[in-house]
Amino acid sequence: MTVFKTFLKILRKNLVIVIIFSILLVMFAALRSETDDKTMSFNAVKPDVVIINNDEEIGITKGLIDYIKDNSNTPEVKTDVDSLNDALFYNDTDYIIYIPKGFNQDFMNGNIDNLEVKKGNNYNASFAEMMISRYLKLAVNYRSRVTSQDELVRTIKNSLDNNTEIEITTKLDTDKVEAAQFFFDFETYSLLVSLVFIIGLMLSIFNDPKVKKRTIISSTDYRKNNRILLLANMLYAFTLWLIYLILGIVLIGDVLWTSNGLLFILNSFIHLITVTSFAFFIGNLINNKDSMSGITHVISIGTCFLCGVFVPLAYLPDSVIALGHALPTYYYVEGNSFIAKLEEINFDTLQPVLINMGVLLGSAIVFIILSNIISKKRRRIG
Amino acid sequence: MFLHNFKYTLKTLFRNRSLLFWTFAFPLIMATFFHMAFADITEDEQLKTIDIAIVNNNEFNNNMLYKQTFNTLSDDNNEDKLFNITYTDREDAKKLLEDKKIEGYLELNNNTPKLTFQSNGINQTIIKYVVDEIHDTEKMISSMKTDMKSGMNSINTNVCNYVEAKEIELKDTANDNLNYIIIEYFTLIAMTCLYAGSVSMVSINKTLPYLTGKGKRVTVAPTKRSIIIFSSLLASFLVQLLTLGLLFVYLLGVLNVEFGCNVGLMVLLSLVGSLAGVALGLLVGTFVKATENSKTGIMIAITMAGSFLSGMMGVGMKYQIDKNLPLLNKINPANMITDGFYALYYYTDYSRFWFNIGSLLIFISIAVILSSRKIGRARYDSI
Repeated sequence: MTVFKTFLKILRKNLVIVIIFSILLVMFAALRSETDDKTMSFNAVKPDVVIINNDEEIGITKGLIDYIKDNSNTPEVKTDVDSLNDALFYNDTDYIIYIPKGFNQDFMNGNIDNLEVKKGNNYNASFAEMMISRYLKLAVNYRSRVTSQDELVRTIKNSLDNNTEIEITTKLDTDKVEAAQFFFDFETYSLLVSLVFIIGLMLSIFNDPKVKKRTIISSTDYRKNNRILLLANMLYAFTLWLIYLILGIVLIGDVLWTSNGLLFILNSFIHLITVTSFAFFIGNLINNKDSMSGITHVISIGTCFLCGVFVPLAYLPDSVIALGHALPTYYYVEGNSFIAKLEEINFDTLQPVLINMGVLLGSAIVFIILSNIISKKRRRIG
Repeated sequence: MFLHNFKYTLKTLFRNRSLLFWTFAFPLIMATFFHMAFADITEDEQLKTIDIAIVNNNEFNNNMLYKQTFNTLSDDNNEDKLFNITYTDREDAKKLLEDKKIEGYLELNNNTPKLTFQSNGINQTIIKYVVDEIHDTEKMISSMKTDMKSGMNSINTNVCNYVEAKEIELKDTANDNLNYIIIEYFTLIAMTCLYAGSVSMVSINKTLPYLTGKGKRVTVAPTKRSIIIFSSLLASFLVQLLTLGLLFVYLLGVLNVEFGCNVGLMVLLSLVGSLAGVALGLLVGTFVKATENSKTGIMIAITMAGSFLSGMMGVGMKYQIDKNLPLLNKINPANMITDGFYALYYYTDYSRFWFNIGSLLIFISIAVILSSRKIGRARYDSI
């Protein structure tokens, strides 16, 4: 009980770190958990386009505005210059189109040079430009062959009225599965900081030669003390994981009860075992409690950057991915991306997920063995 | 006395290994991670070629418009190449889609196009867009056919040429500096500035009587406290300047980060930001009554949380806080520094930059006034 009480005392003193990093997880997850309702039909991706119209909303101007509104999302952005510029920079809007006064007349007179745009630096911005150019191209091509602006708008609308047959083969609610994947990926950061720091600190305090000497000569069994310490750490790790899981259920919801969701939970639990054993390893390896904070932050931030937590694996350069393969968290994040794409569950489709889980468990065993070797070597103190 | 304390504070600071790690090594380690992780990210967000399959049946081969358009859009010599196309049969196309080798496949039946995708997405939308545009052209051909009353083949060629010639060029007035990843490096500099807080806190701790024996001796010594504190803070600021210098040399000289902004003003902002860091350390050092280790933990947690809110672990966070909780970022010194750099990088006029400099100066003044009052009022009956 004394060991357990000491554990709780140290935990209470450093709880603020755990709370801060748990809040970060909630903030990040809450930002990403807003998704649309499930649809199995084709949904065109709509770029975010802001229209600043200084012309009368009639004729070709109205036609263009209606077309853009039908084919894009209108982000909620203030229309002052700074807010628009910020929105473009941070990809809150992909494209801004400025329609000048008298555009509808100028257009019919053969002039579209006065249309100005601000194009973002991403994929959706290029698509928004393709989309708007398509309308204008049709308008230019039909312009000389109609008698009025209304006829022009009607002709373009008729031309655009395509119903290409599209079949979607997935049965997954991809938006929600991706939100769940993001939550479980980002959980890594909070777990790593909270577990490596607290468990590492705990072990380095108990392994301090002065404390250790007193423990060894005390009447309680040394092995029993170690067992209680181990159990207390595991209980802390499991409780933290459970709290994160409950947060996940609150933030993400139903998708966690699907087979994909349950696999995410299982993968996350196996990763917890690996991270806990890793924290034990670090705690046994480093005996200086003052350096624990620095080591924790370098390990957790480094791991998250190299393993696809902060930057998706698809965006990481090959050299970083090759480096990431040396870290267990890489297999967890990759496992999550496999789970997110699982259409049906059978041995064949599960194989890559199971292999990654195997690597995680294997790593946990390696960390436990290494911890024991180090701990055995350090048992003799002068 | 001023010089004496200044010299010994410097010595103390340079002997604190944990502090040296946080101020000198940690920013360089972070910069290395950023450089590794973000090397390809902006290129990946540009439009790139999409892998698709086309069911190579008779209908497709006989439809010149579809065939010619997809040939052009997949031509290696075409600057605007959009697709990598595999021409195959339906079963193989299905298999390619299942194995995620392609984004979707096209099949023509009774001159009607059918697209099959595994899921929704931007690439799928672009494929649909191209097919729709071919359909637009088909409609235009038929309407021109009525007008021109001539043979279909010549109209095909005429229309294709006509449509391609009428590419629309829109005047883009957006600023060229749109690389938002640069914000990550700005947050890193902001974090380094605030680590000046850890340095100043360590130097202040040694003057506090309730923490160390040294503090007790300093307090009872017949020297003005203001001289001791000011010289300690100046020594901290000097250490901070070395840290910043090292970080800038590493970012510019080793990692070759291109900031694209006025270097003089960047240095000015870094100096004011560092002063804000020193002031933050003074504030935490005097107001938080805890052990040295706990204080360091709190200082690092405040710095990391401030950096997080200003976009260090995801640039979007800064924008969301700026947009939805602007007050939080207005009082966050890490964001004042980051936002100042952002203003230099993205805005052509300097008003936003000076606003951030002003905010930092106000923050420094408040922190210094509060801390001085706290230190000035401290009285001990016994320690």
